[in-house]
Amino acid sequence: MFTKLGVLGSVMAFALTTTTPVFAGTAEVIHWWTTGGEAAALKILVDAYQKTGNTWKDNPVAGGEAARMVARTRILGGDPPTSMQWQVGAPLMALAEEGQLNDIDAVAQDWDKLLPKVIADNAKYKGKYVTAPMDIHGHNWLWGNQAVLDDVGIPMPKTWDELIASADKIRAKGYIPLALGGQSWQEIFVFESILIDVGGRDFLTKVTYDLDDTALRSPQMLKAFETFAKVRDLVDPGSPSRDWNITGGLLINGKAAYMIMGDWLKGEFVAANKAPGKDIACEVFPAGGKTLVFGTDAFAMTAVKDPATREAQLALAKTIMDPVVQKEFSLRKGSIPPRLDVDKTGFDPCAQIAMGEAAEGHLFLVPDNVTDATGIGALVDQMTTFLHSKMTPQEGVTAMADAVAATR
Amino acid sequence: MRRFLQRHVSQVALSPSLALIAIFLYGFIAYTAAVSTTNSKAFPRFDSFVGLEQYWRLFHTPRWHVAFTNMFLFGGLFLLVTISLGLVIAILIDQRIRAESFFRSIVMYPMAMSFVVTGIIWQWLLNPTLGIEVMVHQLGFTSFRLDWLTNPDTVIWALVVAAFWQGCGLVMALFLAGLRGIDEDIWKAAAVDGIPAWRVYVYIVIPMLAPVFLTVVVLLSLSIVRAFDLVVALTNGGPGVSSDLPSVFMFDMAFRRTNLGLSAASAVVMLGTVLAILIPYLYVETRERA
Repeated sequence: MFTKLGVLGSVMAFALTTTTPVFAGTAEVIHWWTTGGEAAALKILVDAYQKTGNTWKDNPVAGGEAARMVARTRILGGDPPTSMQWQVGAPLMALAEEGQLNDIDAVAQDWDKLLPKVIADNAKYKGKYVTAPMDIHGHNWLWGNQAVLDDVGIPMPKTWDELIASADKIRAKGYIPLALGGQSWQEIFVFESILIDVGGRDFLTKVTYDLDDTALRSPQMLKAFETFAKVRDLVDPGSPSRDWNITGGLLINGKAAYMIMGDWLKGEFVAANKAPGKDIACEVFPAGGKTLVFGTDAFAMTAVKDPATREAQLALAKTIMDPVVQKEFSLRKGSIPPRLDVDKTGFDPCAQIAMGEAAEGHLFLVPDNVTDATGIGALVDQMTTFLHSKMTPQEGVTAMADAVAATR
Repeated sequence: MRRFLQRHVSQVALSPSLALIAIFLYGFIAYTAAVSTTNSKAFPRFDSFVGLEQYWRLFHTPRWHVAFTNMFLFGGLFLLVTISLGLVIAILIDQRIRAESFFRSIVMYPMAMSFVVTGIIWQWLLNPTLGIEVMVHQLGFTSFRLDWLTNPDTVIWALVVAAFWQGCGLVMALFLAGLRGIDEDIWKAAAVDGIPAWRVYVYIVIPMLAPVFLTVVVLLSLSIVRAFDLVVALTNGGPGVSSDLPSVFMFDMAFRRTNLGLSAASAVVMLGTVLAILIPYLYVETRERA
């Protein structure tokens, strides 16, 4: 009996001595910015944060999915990090609805004036900020290798009709018209830009936000699928399942004329000593669509209770929104700052175009962050199935509408 | 107390592991089944009971049909190819050839690779713009085409080839061990009777290997249901979703689409499929023992 008690006692003593001590002013942050430009950009934030007298406890997890999974597991286990890299919109609201986020309105009084409305709206839960937005990445960019375009003798296309019309000339010179990595997350950028081309921002909203059955079966949708079917002939045989950065190599090395990809592709240009806007032409595509589909990395502020950690959390939110931090961060990351009052000097021509679009109110939050994930997922599955099959456009329209309907 | 311990020592010794299995295996199976009857999204929520709606949804998801069919297609082809070729290789090596260990090592080596490495190796080899196809073109055979990986109708074969390459060694080793266990006298008796070697294999030796077949089928079947890393590394489900497997679907729904309810439903269907195959086998096994 005594030995039993003794064992129990020593176990308790052990438990007491190994309880983690809490230091004031420490923010533990889970993120997945571990490589090249990402890490350099994050260092700006970390250094600025340390200068406020707080400590940044780095918790990097390679890969967005893995990092989100770690964060979610920590929250489920009742041991949330102080903050974690997340996205504005639905993924954030899912956490907020579970009561897992703190409001940071104490430091966010003037954010409504500083941020584009779409970001402000999607960073708030019940009217209170629960996250601090770090950057804006545009998705529907058309990139063109200027040397290839000059060789073929064509300008950057403004619409999908022009792009497809130029394909024969490009092929005649021995180039691939469109560099495409055949993975669904890359293909959706192409599909979304076709939706904008066919029916503008309203149609894109109806299809990808509302998953509206009438829109999904409309003649406009059929037209979009007819264009999308032609994409099958614009790409090279190696396209299916190819990674985006390898695909980017085709554009940069002058094997392909065009590529549609988010602005993080600029990192690859810089690594290959090509200047965005000069060696590689850029355009929000289709031009004049008044729609820049974007995603925003934001740091979600978890529901930590400890007052010292809470202070550290608020200080972090304030640092993220600091204009200097926002600018220096985006310059390294290849993104643009969410704050609208950051001046354009130092940014490359493509980033300046994006900042113009943001100021004009042309931002369109990526459907992944708005729409029910299962519904938009069914749409994406059918989109990629169509592209890699011999289905007719009409079959594609019906299959997509039916698959989306089944998720309701 | 002492007598109790003496009498029940085996039960006492087993109980911690039984408890662990009860909680971490059957407990979580039950938990998953419970989640599958809810409308859980990012987190499990039991206040959103929807009955069997997730199962209805699952079987109205075209992508699930692709994944589910693929499991049987991939599984059947993989079993057939690996067992038949594994057996043939084992028989060839069993012919008391010279440098036997050399050949054995060649067949066994791929086993040392993880499925992720295997997937990436074959992704490069089968890529039509940088792999075998390009090599053959450079040799002058420009009409040669090897587009298994990029063609939705044949991508399953690419999976089978990679899985076979990795799994063949194990199957060969098991069969070889079985062949070595066969009594030499059988061969001598057959030789006396003048029976050709292939007939000895077909009518005597292979039937005697029945227990080995069973082991091989069970081992390979498990790797089929588990197959996840290979698909992720080799095709990531593509082109489109044509090489999806249920495990990939399940992972996608749980962690990318944050739909735990649907994901749990697919997990339960997978478990049901495994049980549907296992229960008849266990039934036969236990009846034979009794």
